Amino acid sequence: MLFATFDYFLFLPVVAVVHWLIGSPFGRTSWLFLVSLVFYAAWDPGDTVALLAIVGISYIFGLVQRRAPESARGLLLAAAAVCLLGPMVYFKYTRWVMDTLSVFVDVTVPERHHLPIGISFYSFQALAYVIDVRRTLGARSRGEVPKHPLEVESNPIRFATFLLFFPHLVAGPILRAGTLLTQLRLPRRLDPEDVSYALTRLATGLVKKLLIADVLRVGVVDSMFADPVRFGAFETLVALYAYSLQIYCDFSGYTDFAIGSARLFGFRIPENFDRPYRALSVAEYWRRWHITLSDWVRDYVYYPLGGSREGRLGPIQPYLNTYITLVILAVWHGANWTFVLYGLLHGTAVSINRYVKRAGWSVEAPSFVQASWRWALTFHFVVLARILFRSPDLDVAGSVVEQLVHGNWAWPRYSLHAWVVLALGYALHASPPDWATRARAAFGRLPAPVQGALLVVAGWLCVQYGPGDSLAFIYHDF
Amino acid sequence: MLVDAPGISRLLGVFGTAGFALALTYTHPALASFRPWEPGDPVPVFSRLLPASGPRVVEADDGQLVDADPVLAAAGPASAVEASLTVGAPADPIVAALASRPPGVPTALVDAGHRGMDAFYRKLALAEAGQGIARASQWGDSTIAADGITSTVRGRLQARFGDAGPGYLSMGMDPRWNVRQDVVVTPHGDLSTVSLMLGGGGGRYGYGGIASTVPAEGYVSVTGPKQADGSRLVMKHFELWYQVGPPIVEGEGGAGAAEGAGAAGAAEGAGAAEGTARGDWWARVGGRGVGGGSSASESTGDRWKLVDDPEGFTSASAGAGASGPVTMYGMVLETGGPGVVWDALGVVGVGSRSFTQHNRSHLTNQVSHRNPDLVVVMLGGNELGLPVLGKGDGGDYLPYYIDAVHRLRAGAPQSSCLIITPLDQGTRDGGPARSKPNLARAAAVQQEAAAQEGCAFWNAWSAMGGDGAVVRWSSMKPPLAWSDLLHLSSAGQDIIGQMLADAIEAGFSDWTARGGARQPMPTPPAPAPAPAPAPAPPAVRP
Repeated sequence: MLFATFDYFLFLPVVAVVHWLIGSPFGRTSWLFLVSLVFYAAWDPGDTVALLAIVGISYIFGLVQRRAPESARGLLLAAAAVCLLGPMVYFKYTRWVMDTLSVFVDVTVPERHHLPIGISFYSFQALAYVIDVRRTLGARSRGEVPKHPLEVESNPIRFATFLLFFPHLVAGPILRAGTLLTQLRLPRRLDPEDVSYALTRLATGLVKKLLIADVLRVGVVDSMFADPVRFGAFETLVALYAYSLQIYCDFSGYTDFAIGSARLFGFRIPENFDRPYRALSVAEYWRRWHITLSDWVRDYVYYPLGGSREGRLGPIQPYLNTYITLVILAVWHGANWTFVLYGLLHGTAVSINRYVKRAGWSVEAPSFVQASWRWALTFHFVVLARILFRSPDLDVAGSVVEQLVHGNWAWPRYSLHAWVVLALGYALHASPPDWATRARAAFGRLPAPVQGALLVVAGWLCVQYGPGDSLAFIYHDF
Repeated sequence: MLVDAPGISRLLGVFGTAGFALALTYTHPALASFRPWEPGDPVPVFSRLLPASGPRVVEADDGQLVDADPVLAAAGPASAVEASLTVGAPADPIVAALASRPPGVPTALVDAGHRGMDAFYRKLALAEAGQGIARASQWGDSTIAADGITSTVRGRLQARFGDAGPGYLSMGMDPRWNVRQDVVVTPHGDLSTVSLMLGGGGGRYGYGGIASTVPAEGYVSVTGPKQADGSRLVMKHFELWYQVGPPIVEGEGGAGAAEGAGAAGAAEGAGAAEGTARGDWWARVGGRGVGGGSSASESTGDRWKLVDDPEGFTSASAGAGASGPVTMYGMVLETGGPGVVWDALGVVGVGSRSFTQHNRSHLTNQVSHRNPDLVVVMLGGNELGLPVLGKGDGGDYLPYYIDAVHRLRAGAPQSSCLIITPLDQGTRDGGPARSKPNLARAAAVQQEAAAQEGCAFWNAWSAMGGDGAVVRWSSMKPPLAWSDLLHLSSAGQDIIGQMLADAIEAGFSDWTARGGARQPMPTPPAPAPAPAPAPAPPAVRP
């Protein structure tokens, strides 16, 4: 069930009202478990098998670790990693690996597997739970205070609800286990402010998804990437700007839905974006884009590799760690050499950022001019690197680059509607953050019937000026 | 629960109001357009839990798209109007012989009396026997402006009957559409281009609907198509199509003839002395100069420079000297045969009514000079919103369409004629993506036009799958249609091109089997109710 649909706007209020009418906390949790399963099964009932398997495996590994001696916990963690990431690797990467191998050796390339929706998200969350349990137990056995203490969850329904909770199940944000499990264990309440806040996030998500992302997708982006040779250089460049805005509004719109929906049940889940296209360096971009995934790979990949400390390879080690982390982060999105190159490209950029900073060439408080060119450089790097992110293969990526370099500069054929949306979208992105805060506050002061009427108007505007269909979120494919 | 009462109250207040507002839309028909759901649509939420249904196309091991459910692909027409269209019954042996190209639906040419393609098939038979060239010229809109469908048809027919060259190439082009993929047309200098769509140019848009004024010392070079072995096709016949006339007046795009004026003798252009004097043209093939002369004249007219070069060449160029600009229409590049030439004459945005913009005698003379064996008309995609198509059975559209066919055929009345419907187009106007409503009517009218004019007919809309096809094509991976639901992707164009080539070849086989070559040539249709074409000026020979 997609968020930006009439179905969801029937489903959500009914589920929320029933949730709050249930008296017992555990009853509410059980209700969330049940409706989350229904929500997920609405895509493909068969996918629930993989989902429940991941839930069961991580739950059992949590319990077993608690009883296991410290010496065995490392082995258990490795086994958990294999079991939890195994299905994702199998569904997502087997064909790609075999296809690559087939260039060198005679192997049979398997059929393309159906990828259970959201598997990349819930597998990572499940693994994070097992790792955090391991770290907590390990620290305590050494007599240390754990940095992110996490108690093993023994209640299977509560544990399953932590992974299945429908607002974040399919495309994040990727939560640390402690963030949601702790809230599930505590009594929750719903204030009128929560409802107002949730509504503004839902409306924001609706507008971002239907009025910006989908309009740009339909009117500009998909056509160019379907047939790059038919587009000139100017058209291609505009389509790349449009794609950058599309993917931001698509994914951050999804996050708005997730945060708003969760708030209707009394949960607070973390932000995933912080106006990423305002970043002045690629390293800063990754602190503003898909923050929960960046944090995940930082905590569970980059730091274990040694982080920014010099290791066996001396001063090269942090750069190598950066490359490995960013390639893993990129390949998490999909099994394709385009993502490998995307990761290497960003690894190079972040390494350059690091080198410049370490060499003392970076200015901590840049002037307007310095900030402007740093922003322009970073923004265009991010936009152009997205050629690799969006292209289905290297041939298409090559065609896009070819058109950028050799295409004509005739005025693009995109509609006035698309141009207006593109301009407004970037203008909103560049607007002061407190505008959104003030708007939310003003909305919160309105009476409930007015809020309800405004919600209907927002929905009507989206139907009138959106592309008409509810198109899947980009990150559902990952 | 008490502590949550204010929150729940707000929750109920908000969603209760929203629900009430939505419920109101069902109380009065005037509010129907605001309804989020209509009885008969899938039931919200619950329908998501049921297994999906609908036609599916899957990718086979060899990368070809195949029907996941062949029964659905063979399903009948979706509407009464669609049912009235002849697409060839499945039992028809010609249809049965057509290749399956899912998600397309095999569709044969409809050729009442089996004579609509006679002239072209005769030339095809000769080409197959190693004699002569079969020339087809296809007019259309953005559907073919990028040479997507036409390149496939050309490739298929040239592979079987021989490659007789790229044919007619407009000198200038809308740079956003790479008119031809197989040849490299490179303008040098700032060409001023007018087209049938944009207007200007005094109604003289040349054979391809595009006329360009090459500035002094500017030129256009063309490199011929690459062959399978990487070498360039050697061509032996070159033509330069250009305009002569009085000085060019600013804003008139390099031409001055008004509607209805004779091509060779009109004496318009009064006051042109204030304009820019026309300059000298030159032409080269294979780097060798093959002619030149002045484009200045007291009256506006069209000229041709024809070159037959037995040595052969792989590139050609033509331009303006230092004395001033020259208005040019295009070039013809051919090998001398045997084989097939398939001209792609697409102009973005045009419809059948656009051809009234042409100076009628100019267009007639242009077609007469090219003398195609087959006139292919694929128009109407930009006219689906015309009020005449929305009324009744859309029959009021028929005169507009037939007028365009008359104008195009007037210069070559003995030629064969093939009418092709627009492809399926979709809209998302205030609702889910769906096909535009007038396509079935437009197709029915065009089929009627074909029957009246003695033309063959190919229903490209039905070949795509009829109603809803473009929505399905756009959702495939890789996408077969752009998400604007108006244009096909390269892969989609290739499927349509292959299906059209299948239909033409199947028709040719049928014509051959019926002994078509032994039949007398059909009588050309009655002259169109239009001014008699002015005599074409003599071609300039080297």
